[in-house]
Amino acid sequence: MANPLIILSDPTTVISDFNAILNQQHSLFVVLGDSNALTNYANEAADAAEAFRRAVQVTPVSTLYPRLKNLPAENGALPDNPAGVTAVSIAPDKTICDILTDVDPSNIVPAFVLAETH
Amino acid sequence: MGTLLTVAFSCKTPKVATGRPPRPEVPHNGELLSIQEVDGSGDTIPLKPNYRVVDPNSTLLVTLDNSALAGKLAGSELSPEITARLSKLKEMLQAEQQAIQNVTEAIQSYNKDPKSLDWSALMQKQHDFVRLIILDKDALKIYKSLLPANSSITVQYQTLFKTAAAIVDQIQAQVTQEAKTNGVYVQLGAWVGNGGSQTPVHIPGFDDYTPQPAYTVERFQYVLTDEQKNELNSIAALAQNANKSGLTAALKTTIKNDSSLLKALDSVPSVKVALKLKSQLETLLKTTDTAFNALKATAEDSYNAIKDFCDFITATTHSLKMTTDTSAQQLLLDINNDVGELSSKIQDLETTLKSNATTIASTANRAGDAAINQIKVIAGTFGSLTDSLKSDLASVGNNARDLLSVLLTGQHIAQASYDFTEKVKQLSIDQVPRQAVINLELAGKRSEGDLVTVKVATGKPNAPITEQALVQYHLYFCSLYARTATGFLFVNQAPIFKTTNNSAFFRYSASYSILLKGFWKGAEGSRTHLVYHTLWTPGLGVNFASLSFNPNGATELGIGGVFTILQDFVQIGYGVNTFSGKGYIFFGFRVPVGSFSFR
Repeated sequence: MANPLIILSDPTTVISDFNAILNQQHSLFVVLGDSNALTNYANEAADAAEAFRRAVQVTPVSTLYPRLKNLPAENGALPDNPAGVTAVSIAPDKTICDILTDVDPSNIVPAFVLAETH
Repeated sequence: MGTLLTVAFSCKTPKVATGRPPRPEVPHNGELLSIQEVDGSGDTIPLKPNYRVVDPNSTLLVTLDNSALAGKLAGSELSPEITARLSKLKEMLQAEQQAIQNVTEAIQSYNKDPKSLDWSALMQKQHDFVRLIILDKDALKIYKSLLPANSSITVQYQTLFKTAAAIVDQIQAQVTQEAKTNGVYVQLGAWVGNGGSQTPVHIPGFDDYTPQPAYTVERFQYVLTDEQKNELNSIAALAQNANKSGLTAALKTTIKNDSSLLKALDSVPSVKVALKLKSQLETLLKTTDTAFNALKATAEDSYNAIKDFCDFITATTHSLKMTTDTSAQQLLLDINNDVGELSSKIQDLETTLKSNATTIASTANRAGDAAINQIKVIAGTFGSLTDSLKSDLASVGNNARDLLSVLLTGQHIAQASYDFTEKVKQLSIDQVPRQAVINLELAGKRSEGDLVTVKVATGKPNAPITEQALVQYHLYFCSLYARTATGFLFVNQAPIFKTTNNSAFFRYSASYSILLKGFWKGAEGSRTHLVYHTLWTPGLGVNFASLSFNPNGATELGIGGVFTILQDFVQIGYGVNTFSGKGYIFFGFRVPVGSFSFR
């Protein structure tokens, strides 16, 4: 049974809500944005979010992005401009393990796998 | 595969399984060769890496693992980066079962207690494997292509290992292609023999040797060999002499008449040279020429050392030829001590003379012309003596080491080299037959204890060949077989351990036994325990003894049951005198008489 998609869309609470999710220490796939393509992407991620995996969709990105930039990253740092970034995967220890720049569903499982084995 | 996926997905309780056909059993020797033995009964026994023995009449089926061969060639045919990657991927594949188990347990752990982070600890163990695939662009592409849609977490991880296997196959195919392009060839050969000589064995498809005529090592031997007949005659003579004059005197006679130690002492090459040098030094010490004054102390030291050595040889030889009252046990101990002392004395003498030779050479430079020639002669004799001493010492040392080696490993130290002749084919890597058949019955005359060696090597034009695998098995029967053995028996007739009419406690007797062997250990134990064959070799059977309890000296026949151990050196049993009907106990040994000695 896949876990439901977690949607964070309130600009006033997005950071605290996101921190609360981070503190639950799951393997996260965080989609940045709510365009149709990104929403489909988030739903695909939710389908793969079994067991300790969680799929999260966040808006507004500009509010959350500085918080993400503060997290350590395993494979390259986040760019300053969030425009090209579609999603990130985050390990239970809050390390960003994968940075995705497209909406290819075949990248979801590898991103989860990197996060949960970090 | 489809079935497994369905089960894993629909039940959400995936089993620990790889989803691929099981890999073949880990082959022998660096994964390159796997060998199966087909014994005389037609039973097939896969030879595990710790197996050391095969039956002398078996056929060995040698399977060459081409992918393992490619792996071994990768180091020479590919870049170090690819070789290192291949090595890591192989490590990953070996850990597959454990990794999938970790993933399964992590899911179970999370489902049981979502707040515990035990799942994370289990998943982290896959950190390196995951990155080996996911962070490599080409590998990730393969992974995505192999990953089934809507797969469970377990299947997603299983697919990582499938990807690793696919990449390994790709690299190995690349190695094979490179090797073929570079003219790499493979040779496989086998030899049978002992430490001293090796005979190549024909392997169809791998060489052009002519098969030897079929020869079967006799499994059930009930009749004494010619050598054993000679032994029996010698033992009979010893027993007769012992019954008449006592055991010590009989042993003395044997040592005097046919002792290898006496022969060795008589032919120590250094003794002749030592006597010559002793004579030269005597002359030197007697001279009044002042040119030699500086040499006299050194010459005297050398003279005394040589005299001590020669005296020891003379005294030992003399003592062995003399009849004494020494007990039999003491006599054997004395012989053992003499051999040890001989070795020690040779070593001491060589050290002393080498040092003195240096002194003499340096003194000669300061001596007058008249003395130089005489000193040169002496220095030359010094040189030849130290050389012959070295040779003697090496001989004594080698014999001792070889004896130990045979006892401990059944293998002589002197190893023949296993070189391929021009008759062994150089096969292109893609032409190598997958299996080699080594029929030991067509390997010529063999004996128990011989060694069969299988070697695989690779080479390429203008480069030396590289040995890739070498496996050796000793040839011994691993199931029931029969042998005969002779023995010198100490016999005590009923009533046991009581003497009558002041007669001797033991009578001595020559005997032979027909023994069943190979029953103590099963198929695996007899193939893994070499000392079972080289040292213990227990036997159980029937003993026939020529008794001499009758006061008139007539020989009587005794028949009994016997248990032997330590290559039949120790024999113990109970028998019945067929003439008097009385029972007797006996124990016996193989003793150093006649044509044989301690081995």
